[in-house]
Amino acid sequence: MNIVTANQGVALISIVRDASVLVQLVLLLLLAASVLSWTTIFRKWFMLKAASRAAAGFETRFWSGGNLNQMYKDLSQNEDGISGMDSMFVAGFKEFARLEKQKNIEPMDILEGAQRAMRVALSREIEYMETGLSFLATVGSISPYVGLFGTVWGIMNAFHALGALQQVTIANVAPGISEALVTTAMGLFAAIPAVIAYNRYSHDVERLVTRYEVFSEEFSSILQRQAFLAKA
Amino acid sequence: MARNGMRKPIGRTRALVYAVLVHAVVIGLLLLSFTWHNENIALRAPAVIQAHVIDDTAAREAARKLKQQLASQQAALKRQQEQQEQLRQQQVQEQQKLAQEQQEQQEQQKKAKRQAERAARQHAAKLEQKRLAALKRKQQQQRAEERRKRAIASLQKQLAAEQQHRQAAAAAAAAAARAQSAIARYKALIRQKVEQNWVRPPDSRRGMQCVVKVRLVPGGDVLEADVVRSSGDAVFDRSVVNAVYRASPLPLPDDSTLFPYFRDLEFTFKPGH
Repeated sequence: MNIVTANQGVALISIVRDASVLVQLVLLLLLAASVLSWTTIFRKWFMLKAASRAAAGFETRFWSGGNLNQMYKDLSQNEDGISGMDSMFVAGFKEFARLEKQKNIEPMDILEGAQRAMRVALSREIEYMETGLSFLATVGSISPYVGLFGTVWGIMNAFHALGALQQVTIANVAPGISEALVTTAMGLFAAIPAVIAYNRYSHDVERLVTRYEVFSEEFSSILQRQAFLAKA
Repeated sequence: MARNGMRKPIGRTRALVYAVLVHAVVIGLLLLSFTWHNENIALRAPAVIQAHVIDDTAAREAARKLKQQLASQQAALKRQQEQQEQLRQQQVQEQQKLAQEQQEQQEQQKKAKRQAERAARQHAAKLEQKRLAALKRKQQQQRAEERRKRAIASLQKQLAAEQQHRQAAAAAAAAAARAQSAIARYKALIRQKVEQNWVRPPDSRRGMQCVVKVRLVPGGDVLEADVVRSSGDAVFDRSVVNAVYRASPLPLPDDSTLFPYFRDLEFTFKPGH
């Protein structure tokens, strides 16, 4: 433990440099967590923006008239790249077309098959949209504790070093505690954006899922009419 | 259907670059602006105070002598300064007298000059006034001319804008009229097709009519059909709804921009005979 007596003022970097190895490790860990969480934040941002734009585009296309068969053909040509509502539509329509060709099948069974296919596609979409959210939640809840651990360690060291001095003033204690608190600050710096982003993105995902479900219901009712017409 | 693995990640490297940038900016700001000035802490750091006991009577004696010498020197200096001060005051008085005489002479000269100047100025002012009046008249004329020109230009612009507006409105109206006629045509076609599919209930009377609301999907398939205003005869109403379902898919215009007019369609079913 050294007491800082530089006359020029202390740069933050010297605090980090003079800290004990454990505190440095904690700081490094928190910095890595922060960089990773910001990476996730930006990635989810791009992802959700693209998904909601794609959903809006699909909805206008779907409701603007036009032949559903033609739309299915267009969409299923690049089956690897599709996502969101497109993939639900393709899954539902494909299953519907497959079942409709069979003989001796009830219209309700056709409809159920199509709905099941859409449900599978929907849960796959949800899983895709929620990737990374749990990481944000973890960073948000764990980082402050890690930072606190570093602080406690630093203060322990500071008090231990005090034992060797005969005359103790506030000047002996304050710099050590101030150094120790750097890890708490770092922990909060990592945690706050992660928590904000987690709340924001889970809300966004929920709204997108609701949108997908509404579409699934509407599409089901269209398929139902067609199924009854075909088998009537 | 296992597409999940193949889905290409959106902007992973871009996100990483952004994240690193954010941290670089934050750390840079901290390093630049965040320094603690803790000189106080340095001063307050405990230092061992060393004390020596010294016999100082001889030193005090020396100091007293030095003080006496200093006092006598200061007194001599003061006397000199006072003499100098008296001399300076005499000189100042003489200078003041000279200055007064000069001032009187100057004032006389100034009076003569001022009279001459006043006469000249009056003459110049008269000339200037005439010139200004002429200039003012000219400017007013110019301004009036400009105002007239501007008014004409703005009128012309207004006319052009109005014409453009009228043309645009006419074009929009024409498009709307075309759309309206297409809508009307297809509504008639829809009514016709429903009527073709209608099975007249045995006890229906002539002149019965009901209003049906139909929900369509693109392609013309009927999602839902409901009677909005009943004919008063439940059997007739049901027959009409059945006819709508049987007539599906209903004819729709090829222009898909018109579909919104048909998504929730309401029409009066009035069988011809």
